[in-house]
Order: sequence, then structure tokens, then C-alpha cells
Amino acid sequence: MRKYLLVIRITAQNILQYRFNFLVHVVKYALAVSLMALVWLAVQVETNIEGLTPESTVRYFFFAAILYGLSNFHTWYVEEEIKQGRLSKYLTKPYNYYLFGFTYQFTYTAIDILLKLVVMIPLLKFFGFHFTPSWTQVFIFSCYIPLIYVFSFLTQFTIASMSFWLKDAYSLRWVSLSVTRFLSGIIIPLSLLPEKLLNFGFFLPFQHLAYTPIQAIQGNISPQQAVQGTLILIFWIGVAWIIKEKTWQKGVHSYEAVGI
Amino acid sequence: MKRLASNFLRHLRVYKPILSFTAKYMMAYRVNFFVRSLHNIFYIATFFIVTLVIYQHTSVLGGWVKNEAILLFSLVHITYGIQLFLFMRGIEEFMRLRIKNGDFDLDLLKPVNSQFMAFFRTPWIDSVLFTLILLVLFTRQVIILSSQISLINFVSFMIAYSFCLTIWYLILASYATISFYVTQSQQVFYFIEKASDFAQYPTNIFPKIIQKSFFTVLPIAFISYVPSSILLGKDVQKMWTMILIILPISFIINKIAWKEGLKRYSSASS
Repeated sequence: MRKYLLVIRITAQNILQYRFNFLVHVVKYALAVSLMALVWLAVQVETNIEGLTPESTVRYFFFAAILYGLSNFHTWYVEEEIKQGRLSKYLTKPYNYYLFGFTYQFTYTAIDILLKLVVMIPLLKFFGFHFTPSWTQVFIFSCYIPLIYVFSFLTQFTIASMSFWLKDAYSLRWVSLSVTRFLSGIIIPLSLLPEKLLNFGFFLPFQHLAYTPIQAIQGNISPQQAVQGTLILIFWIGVAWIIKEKTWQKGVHSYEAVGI
Repeated sequence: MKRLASNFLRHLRVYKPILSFTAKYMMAYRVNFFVRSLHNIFYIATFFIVTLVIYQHTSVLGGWVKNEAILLFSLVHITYGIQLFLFMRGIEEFMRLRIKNGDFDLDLLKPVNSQFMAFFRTPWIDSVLFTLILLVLFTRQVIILSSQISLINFVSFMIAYSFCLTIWYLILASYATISFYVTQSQQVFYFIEKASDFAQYPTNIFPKIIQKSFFTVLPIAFISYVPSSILLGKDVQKMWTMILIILPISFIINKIAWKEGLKRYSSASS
């Protein structure tokens, strides 16, 4: 455990070393999601959308900005290390490479979310948006956070592992991120899509990466529905874990660090 | 004038082998080339769906009806394709690696403009496919809206569009000079890239302060809103005034930023 804590410490130090870059990274996502909220506010100026008030729209995109970092990260380092044969140095060390990547990415994500909260909560207060969810809503929302991160990291890691066979897994990763961004409800509240699609999507992991937890904290769905969402996500984590294990094992077997 | 022409031809001669080498490299990995092209198409498709969903709930947004908004949308991504092809990856690489690793020395040694060499060295040929698809969409929208578009508007649009692309390049290149001062600054580039996603919505739907920044510090309005407005005959005078004010300013900023940045470059890591 100590070695992974060390990874967290070193990663945090690295972030602080290049704090300007990291701050811009945080502001970038906060800005993107805030602008999306403004687009939907502009739509509401033109027309009345059922179940979507300006207040709830801003709240929706505020939570979307918080959750965005949990499912939108780039595991490019895994691809690079496999492609360039640098993975060898990790395989010979007494730690699990998956857990190493998990803790490394976790540090980035945790600091990213904390910074976003520091930037966005005062901003919301400044613009006069107040929101006091119940403890149950906060609890359910908090339960989703680790699950979203675990599922997202598993899928991104598995896609990056494709570098064992593909020259360029970058495109696959981008396609998966674009799909996730859209189907999770980060760029568009899913209630605006046809109901059939929403009902079908309930059994897939995507809408539980953002839409369901946001609806839960806003009190738009019952606690039972929110719990169902977490159970579906846990099921998909299991599936993603099995795929990741199989892929990684096969990949390491076929790995050749030629020239290293 | 003669000197300018020969200078242009010299840069073109340097660019030709860069382009040919990149094309050969891409074609050596054809599957990757097509997967990457598909990825871009997929990325753009998600945004297109968002635009369609918006217009399912309203018939007009900021004074733009659905067909006008699709025209705006297609032009944003055509611009994205053009800039990706020409300089986008070059700027990204410059900010992420070349200054930090000291590789920029190689650009300084070439007998052409160092900024040209640094930013135009990585053409991204994958963007050709989706740019062509969007060009078809753009042409379709122009035909649908042809009653609104006069020949003068179209000529005015073509000139304005080339000016707008120049403004966008000059500002982007000026931001890239931050990497002369900050070791890791590539997130500035990604920030601008992310913000430019919002060029696909009419700029006038945003609050006044954001509108002002979209015309000045983060001039994403020039990617599509300004040229599209000129094409559709919306606020033509205002749009041209903005172009004629911002173009020389961005040119001066670019010159100064590049010159000052070069003075700071020490090639420490090389």
C-alpha cells in the first residue's frame, strides 16, 4: 500500500510543479460545461422546455462539470509505454502496473475535482444560485463518485491496452470518450432525448456516469431508482474488470520490448 | 511585391516535401488513417446531434433558424479541418514538446520563417475526409438558403473568411508563445481548442461579456459566426468592422509576441 501512496505523493508534487498547466486544464473543463449551460439557457429564452428551468439547468451543468473529470481522462501514458517498450521497467518492479496507473490517474482526478469545486461553488453563489440537497441525496451522489471513476479507468485502461496489437489506440480512445460524453448526459441532459432511448440506456453504464447521479442529487428520481443505477454500474464494473484482465494478460504475453 | 512573391514560393517549396512525406507516412498505416478519419467524423456527429436536439425544442436560437445554424455548424468544422491540416498539430506539438525539449533549434536553422517552420511542420492529413463531408453539407445549406445569399454576399464571405482564418491563426500562434515562458503550457492550447467547440452556436446567444471575449481575447467568433453572418447578410457592416479592427491588431500582437518569445528561448534541454 505504501508504494501506491508514494505514487500519489509524487504525482501531486508533479502537478504542483506545473501548476499553471494544471489550473488551465481545470478551468478548461469548467468553462466548457458552463458554456454548455449557457447554450441551454439561451434555448430556454426562446422556448419553454418541460422539466427544465434556468435554475435546474445551471445546477445540472454544475454537477456535470464535477463529474466530467471522473470519466473524461486520457490514459495516453499506458499507450506510450507499451508502444515505446518502456513498459518493461514497470513489469520488473514489485508493483501492479494497473494499480500504479489507477493511483496516478486518481491523484489527477481528485485534485481536478477539488479545484473545480473551489472555482465553481463561489461562482454559483456569486450568480445567486443556491442549492441545499438533503443528506440522502448527497450520500447517493457520493456513492456514485468512486464507481464512476473505477468504471471509467477500467475502460480507458483496456482501450489503451489495445496498443499491444494496434499501432495507434488513440483513435479508439477518442471515439469511446466522445460516445461516453454524449451518452452520459454531460453535454446534453438526457431527458431531452426520446424516452425509448433513455429507457433502453438505463441498462447500459453510460447514463449512470453522469445523468443518474445528477438527477439523484437534484431529487428528480427516487432513491430506489438511484440505487438501481449504482447496481447496474457495479455490474458493468465487473464486466469491464473481466475484459481488462483478459486483455492485459494476453497483451503482456505478446509484448516484445525490441531494442530496449 | 516581387520579393513577397518569391518569399511565398520559397515557403511553398519547403512545404511541398513536408506534405509529401506526411502523406506517404499516413498511407503506410492506412488502417490507422481511416480509423482516425472516422474518429473525427464520430466526434463531429455527436455535436451535430446536439444541434438537432436543440432545434427540436426551438425553431430559432439567437435569431438563427435551423438551416442557418447547420450552415454555421458546417463552417466551424470546415475551419477545424483546415486548421488541423495546416497548423493546429504543429502548434500543439510546439507547446507540448518542441520548446521543452529544445527541438525548436532545428526550426531556427532552416532558411525560412521560424514561425512557419514551427507551426506548419505537422500537416494532419486525416482531416481531409471529414472536411470534404462538411463541405458537402455546407454547399447543401448554401443551396437551401440561396434566396438569402446574393453573389456580392458570397464574394464578401470568401474574402472575410480568409481574413477570419488569418486572425484565428495569428491569435493562436500568439498564445503559443506562452511556451517560451512556461515550461508546460500545452493546456492553454487545449483550453482554446475546447472553447472553440462553442463557435458552432451563434455568438449572440451568450452573455455580453462572453460575446466580447469571443471577438477579442478568445476570438472564436471569427471561426464561423462572423463569416456566416456575412454570407447570410446579418449585421454585415458590424462584422466587417470587427474584422478590419482585429486583423491588424492580431498581426501586431503576433509579431511582438513571437519576437519577444524568441529572445527568451534558451534551448536549455537540448
